[in-house]
Amino acid sequence: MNPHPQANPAVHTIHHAFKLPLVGESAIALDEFIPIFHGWIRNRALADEVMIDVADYAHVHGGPGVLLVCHEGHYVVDRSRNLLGLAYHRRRGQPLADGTADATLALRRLIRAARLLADDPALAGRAVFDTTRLELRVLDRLRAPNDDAGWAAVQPSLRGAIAAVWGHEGALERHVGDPRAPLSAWARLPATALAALHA
Amino acid sequence: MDDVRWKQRLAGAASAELEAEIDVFETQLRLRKDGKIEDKLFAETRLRRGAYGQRYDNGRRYDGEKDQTIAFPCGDLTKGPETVWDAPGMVRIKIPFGALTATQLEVMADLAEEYSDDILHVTTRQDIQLHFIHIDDTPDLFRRLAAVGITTREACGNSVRNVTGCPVAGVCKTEAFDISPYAKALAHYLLGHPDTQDFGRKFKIAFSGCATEACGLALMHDIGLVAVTRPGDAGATERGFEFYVGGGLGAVPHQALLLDGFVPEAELMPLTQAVCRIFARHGEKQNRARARLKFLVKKLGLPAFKQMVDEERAKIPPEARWSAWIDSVAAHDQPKRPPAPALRKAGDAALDAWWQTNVRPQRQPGYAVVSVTLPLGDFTPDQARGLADLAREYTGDTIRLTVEQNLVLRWVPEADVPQVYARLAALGLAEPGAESIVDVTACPGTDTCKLGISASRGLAGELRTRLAARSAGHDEALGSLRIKVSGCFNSCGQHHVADLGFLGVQRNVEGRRVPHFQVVLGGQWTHNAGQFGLAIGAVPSKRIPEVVDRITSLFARERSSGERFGAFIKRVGKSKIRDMLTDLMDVPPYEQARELYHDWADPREYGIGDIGVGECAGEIVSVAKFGLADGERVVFEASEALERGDAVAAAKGALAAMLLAAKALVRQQTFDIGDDPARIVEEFRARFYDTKLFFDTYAGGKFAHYFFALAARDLQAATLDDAHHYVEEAQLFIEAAYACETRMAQAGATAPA
Ligand code: SF4
Repeated sequence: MNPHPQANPAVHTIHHAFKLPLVGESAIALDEFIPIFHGWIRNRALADEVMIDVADYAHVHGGPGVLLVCHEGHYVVDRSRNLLGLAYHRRRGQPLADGTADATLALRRLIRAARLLADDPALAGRAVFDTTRLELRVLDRLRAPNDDAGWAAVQPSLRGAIAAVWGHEGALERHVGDPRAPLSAWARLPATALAALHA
Repeated sequence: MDDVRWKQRLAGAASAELEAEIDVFETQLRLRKDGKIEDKLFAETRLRRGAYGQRYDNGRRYDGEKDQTIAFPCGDLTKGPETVWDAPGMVRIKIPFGALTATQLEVMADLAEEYSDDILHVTTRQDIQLHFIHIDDTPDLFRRLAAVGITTREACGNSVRNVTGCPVAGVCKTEAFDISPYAKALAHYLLGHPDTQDFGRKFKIAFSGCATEACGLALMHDIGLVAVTRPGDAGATERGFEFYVGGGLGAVPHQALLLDGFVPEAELMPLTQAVCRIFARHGEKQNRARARLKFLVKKLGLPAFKQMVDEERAKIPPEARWSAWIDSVAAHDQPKRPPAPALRKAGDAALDAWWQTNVRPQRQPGYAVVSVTLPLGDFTPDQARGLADLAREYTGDTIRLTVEQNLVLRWVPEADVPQVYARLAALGLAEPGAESIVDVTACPGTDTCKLGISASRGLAGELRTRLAARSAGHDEALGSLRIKVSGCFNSCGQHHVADLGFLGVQRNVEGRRVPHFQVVLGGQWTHNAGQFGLAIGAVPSKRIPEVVDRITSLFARERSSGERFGAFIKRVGKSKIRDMLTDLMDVPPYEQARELYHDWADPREYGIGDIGVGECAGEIVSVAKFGLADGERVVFEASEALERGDAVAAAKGALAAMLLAAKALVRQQTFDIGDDPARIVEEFRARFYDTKLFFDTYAGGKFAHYFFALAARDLQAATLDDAHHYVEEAQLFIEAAYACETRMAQAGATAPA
């Protein structure tokens, strides 16, 4: 038996989770996203993702309604925290140069997926995203605990990622809520067309 | 950010033994990556740690049009035979008798957020499962659980699985006594015990506080323990258990048999240990299909089995651990707040409706048990944290999971129930209907399970939605029906003990697969799963809501006053119900009813898509299917004979059905087969068993063994219990024959010799 070098990631990837709100809560039923995500898998619509399956949790109140499960992360039509939006949760993958590069990759993937939905003929223009707000979370209580130190550690990379994609840092504010929840923040951003973002 | 690790962060938080175990697992994981241990060995190692496979982990997936390779970056590295390293898996977290603290729930919420898909799932055996977990994340996940006193050890694999127990133990009005401390002590005692490490199959234990209710489901377990008391010395009451053995669902369900009518509490551990030793020593090891304890009990007969157990028990040297815990049994599960009777029950209509189904008074006056309905057993990390808060504030820090995939809060002062309701509503968890017809239970099925045939969760979700919309019209008798769905014959959804059970199967219609469910009627949930239902026929998945509609409407219309569902089905007869469903069983061609060729909540065309079946093959397939349908009819008649109490006719019918199905397959290869049973068995064996044509990917030749064994039996001596098993086996054999016929049609391997 030979060792498998590619299965030994040396350094870990930061689990960034970003959510871009969808405008109009009831414009699209959750189950409309299911065939779309299946179609993405069939047509290999996300070239740099290993897409695995679609999970349907529409029955769970305020949860991850529909997920496209990928090897490096999940694309989620998410209803958590009373906000419908498209989220990308990065879980693994080749670690990049630094936290900013990691966060930028995750954010770009989110924007790219949002554009695909916005352009999807089955949704007929009903997937409209609010680019003036972005929810940011770091799903790693070890390296980014939900406290001041954790916030200080991740803030620069979050700002860097937003600047890389929006061309503007916006106003970033930590969300201080339940200390047991993951470290999270909100960005207020200048209105920018989805197509104009640097994805 | 420094490369900190959970191992360092949590050093010393768990017991040294648990930490060492996880260290060993982490090393094994590294060794496997370095190619220094075989994948088979690693697979068993991870299974014993609770890290299970998940659908598509062989790196292939049908996308609705074609089979696609999932190009995981790990290349050819595997974590088990045909199990790709990078493919996400499931982690099953054992929660003995379903009892959790708030802190434990919070940690699981963290894990669901960081490693899984943001969902915690309650299973039908009081476990919590997390899905889509990468194997590389499991050591950290295990460490974080261990730090709060949870181990996943022996949650899967050939081991003692989670020890289950009534979720209302200690507060229930009908119990003999609180089984919680007994379940806890036994679970701990057996964990990693040397006598439980050499089983040929899994081993399940359940406790029940009484004989009449359903909560413990003791009779469908390898060991079922029902609390009983008897007068002891000096006017005291002695506690003990009715000790049942050899129960189980799975492909062929068996009701447990009474090994001993009163096992005193101090004897609980040594007697269980003796049963484990006998199972390890004499249980089947090669043939997985016959390796559960139920087959050993059946093979030996209860008296011989009991004698072996008693002899073994006499040999086991006494241990202090057998009774050291008994003094502490009283100190279990205390309330946080003083009792307070309900001030008013009715606040608003929604609260009323919820109270009616989700709140019941405890044995202790002034307290209530609150059931939290979890749709399909799922909840989110945010909800979990909210529940942890409620458990701390109102209950003295305990939560119990239920086998109906819900969660209960106990010791809630009745006066606080409206506040708890309001808090649950804010969490989106105030759905009424717990343990009612709308609270449909389902196994994971094709959503995530590797063995799933039909979308059990998809169907359950659909039924939930439809039944909830009509729930106002349900009276008590209708409202209290139980619906349970399994995605395949392994029966994890416990459909056998439901009033209305559904079992996922498939059919081949002109070369295309159609997802179906067998409709199973006559199961009894109460009396600890007192009776198992039988299938009356298979209906396309998409028509199952119509099946539920017709059967429940008939029940509502024609039942006599006070008649329960089981008695109603018996009186009306399964034939009438089947006749009422016959039109639903007929599947039109694809062009006329495309929706039937899809399963619930999945837009992909079911199965493996278009297959080029030629005209000749098509014709021969229809000949085979004619014979298979005949077999189905005969097995149904056998189940009717069973209902009449005619064991011999039922047993003979089961064999006749299998012969018809076998003959149908054989006729695809040679028309000259005749009706001689010996000839059919011989031809079937040579053409379908020896060639492995009949073999299922996961079950192998299991169902053919049923056929061979039954053909060799003297059926004149069959008891009702035997006949019940034969009918079940015949149903499975026919399902396997259908699957075989489909495979052959797809491979174009149907041309007669
Ligand atoms: S019954 Fe079958 S499909 Fe359902 S979980 Fe069990 S093995 Fe999987």
